Amino acid sequence: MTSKVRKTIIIISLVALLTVVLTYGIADAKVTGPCSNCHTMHNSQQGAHMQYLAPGEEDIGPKGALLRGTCLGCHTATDGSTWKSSITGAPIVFNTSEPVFNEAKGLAAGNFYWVQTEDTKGHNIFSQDSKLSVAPGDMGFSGCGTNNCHTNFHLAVSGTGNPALDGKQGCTKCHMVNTVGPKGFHHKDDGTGTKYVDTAEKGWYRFLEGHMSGSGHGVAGIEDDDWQYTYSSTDHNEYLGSQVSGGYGFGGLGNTMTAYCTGCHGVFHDNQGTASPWLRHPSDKILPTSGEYAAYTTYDPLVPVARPSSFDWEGGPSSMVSGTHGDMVMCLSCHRAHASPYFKMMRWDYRGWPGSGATNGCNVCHTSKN
Amino acid sequence: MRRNIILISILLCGMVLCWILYPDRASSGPYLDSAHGNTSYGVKRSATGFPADYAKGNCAHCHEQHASIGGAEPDPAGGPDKFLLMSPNFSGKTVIPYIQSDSVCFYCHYGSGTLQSPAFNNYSYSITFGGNPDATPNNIFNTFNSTSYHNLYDVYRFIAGLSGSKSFPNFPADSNPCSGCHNVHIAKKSCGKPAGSYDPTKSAISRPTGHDSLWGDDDIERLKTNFTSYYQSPYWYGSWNYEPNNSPVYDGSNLPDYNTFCTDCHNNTNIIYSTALGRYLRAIDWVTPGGETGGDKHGKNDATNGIDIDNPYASSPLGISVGFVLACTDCHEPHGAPNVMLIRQVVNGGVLYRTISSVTPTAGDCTPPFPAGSKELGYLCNRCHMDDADAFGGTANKWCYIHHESTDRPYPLNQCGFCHSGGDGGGGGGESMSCETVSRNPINCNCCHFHGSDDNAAPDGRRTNRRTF
Repeated sequence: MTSKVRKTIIIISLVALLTVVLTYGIADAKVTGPCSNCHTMHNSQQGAHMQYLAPGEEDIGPKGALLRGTCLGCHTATDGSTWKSSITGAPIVFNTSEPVFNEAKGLAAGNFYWVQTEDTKGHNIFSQDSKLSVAPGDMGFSGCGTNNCHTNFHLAVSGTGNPALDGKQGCTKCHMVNTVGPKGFHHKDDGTGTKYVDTAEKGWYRFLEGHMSGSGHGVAGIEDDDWQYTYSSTDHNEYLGSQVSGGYGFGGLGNTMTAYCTGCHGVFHDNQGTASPWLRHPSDKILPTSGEYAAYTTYDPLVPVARPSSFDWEGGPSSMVSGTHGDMVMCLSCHRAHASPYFKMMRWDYRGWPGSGATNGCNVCHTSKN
Repeated sequence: MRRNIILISILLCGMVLCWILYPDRASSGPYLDSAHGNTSYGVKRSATGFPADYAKGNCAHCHEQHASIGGAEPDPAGGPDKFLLMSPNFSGKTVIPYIQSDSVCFYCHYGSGTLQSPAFNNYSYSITFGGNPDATPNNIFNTFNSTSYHNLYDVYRFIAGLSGSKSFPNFPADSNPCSGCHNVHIAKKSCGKPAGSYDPTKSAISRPTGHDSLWGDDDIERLKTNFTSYYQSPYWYGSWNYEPNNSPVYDGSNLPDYNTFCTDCHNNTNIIYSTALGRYLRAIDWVTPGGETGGDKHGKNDATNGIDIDNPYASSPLGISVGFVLACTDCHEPHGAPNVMLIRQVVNGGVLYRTISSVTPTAGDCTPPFPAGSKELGYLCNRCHMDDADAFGGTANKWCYIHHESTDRPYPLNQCGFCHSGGDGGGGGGESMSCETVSRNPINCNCCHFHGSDDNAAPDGRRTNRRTF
């Protein structure tokens, strides 16, 4: 091997290594770092309180578990460019200015900035939704107490008789529902980087415990290491799905994202049918392998699919989409969980299409309908 | 060294591209080019409970993903419905009168009360592509509620494979009958209304055998291509120009090949039941030449000797005098018509002299000697064929010349009594006669003239066994 060839190989290797280093983020689901990032012993430092206050928050008093803030206190940024707390490493889900740090204008679940611009754009965790008094598609379950999750997000639940549920408000009406306080999840060790999270011991996927599949269940999936601050066909979350045969209710779907959503929005897909002609847009239905659907072959983070249990979960996110392998449409194929720039938390401007000239995510699956 | 710099640059560029490239979006499809997806005149539902700010052409105007919007179902309520449609696809109504809820399509393709905003008109074929100055019917719903109509129940059962037999795969069991001829996601607005808007490269129809593509929008799907040199366009109403757009184009090069389109169903092998008629439809062989053993003469089969016809056929710029092939739509409406058998109100540049309310012979009408029968069908025939008025200034819709004096006449003039009843001016005895003087009871046209007919009804010894349609 000549020295010139050797030099070339070394340079290529260095560039390749650089590529890996620059594109591979490090993130811990288990909170790491000095305890004082999140906790305060006396809520006082040189006479000042130690609370992280989100805009509008005024409670500077001590918090349970010696925490230095509410959920929003830690997960809010007062600009539009911060996507991760520089102190705690917490993902920012609420920017007080329009998020501009990526094209999606938010992390994978969206950004609560948008629900403050219009109630229809997100789950309103701040105040009473001006459009809705109950979760649309609610199955009408009773026994969830006053101000339950199906009714609103901004008020605290009471009267359930379940100490883990009473007092839940805002974010905790979806995250860590059955846990008293956040500790049980923030300190779970589910590894580092992009990884598969599928048990309570690991804190479930994004701390989503419960719901439609009941106690002992949660959401399983691959957590992208930067919450999709960057994203591509190979850089994204993965969600567990499960196609139910013999009719559609979602109670028995297991640890799927759809099962979680349908805890409040079950009617959206109730009796949707088992095959075309569908009565409602199917969810957790394996993509057809023929016709226009067969053209969706490369994973588009704009329109994620759910993966079956047979997916190579430990192998990380896949860039491939295939009905043959059991990939499914699901709730998050169309919606973002927190809020989006678009009506009904859509992942694209569905309402404005086609006049807007923008991309219609429907066409990612319905490839002949654009 | 320079080589390494180039190499590094290429690799870095590739790396940057990897970072900035997003996954491929779906490739372009035809919906936005369709009439329903058009951003200017596409679907736009205006109904109680439906948000006003959904863009024109948006899926939600027809499809409700969750059978609701904001937790409630907008009008028309009552869902969820199959295919996520805003209403049931088709009610299964067997005969007219249809009501709006009988087909999801009628919610918009309707007169006053349409959910489409703004309201719009769809005229009959005669009006749109024939120049009929009449302004009614001005919507598809009313057109279907006409004297004759393309029975939606029969269409549905046929395309879904629930009735008859056919040569194309079954449509899904819950199909809308309109989808037999239209693919709503790709159908375009070819249109002739308002005048000047016709665009032959657009088409609203898809063959049942080719539901996923339009038919007639490409040159190879036009009548001229498939019936080379034998299709003469009929006149546009009140004009020396031609259908379908009042232009000098006379050869069907601007007209979808409706013959190929219609004969996907209406051919000589498919079995199609008609609820309205209470019988199976006649087989139609539009493509077989061969004289008296071939198919219909209005199709690819030829006249026996010659034909006595009006313009534009009599002096056709095609340079032929026989062998014309007509398009199905030259005589028939696709949706509904004020005449029986979907016969158009305007044919070859003029309105039919009278409404054709019945052509079906009653019992005994076709048994020689024939009793006086209806010749209403003649109001259609004489739009192109020479009746006695055309031949020698005789009576309109009287057909003595063609049958008895023309060089192509099948029957002698002086043997009236074998077939005709009544009348005066001689007959039956061989005396000298002429059509100008003879008068006999007419024979129901339909005894001898219908798709697939010959003159089998004629009495023994007078039968020619000619193809008579």
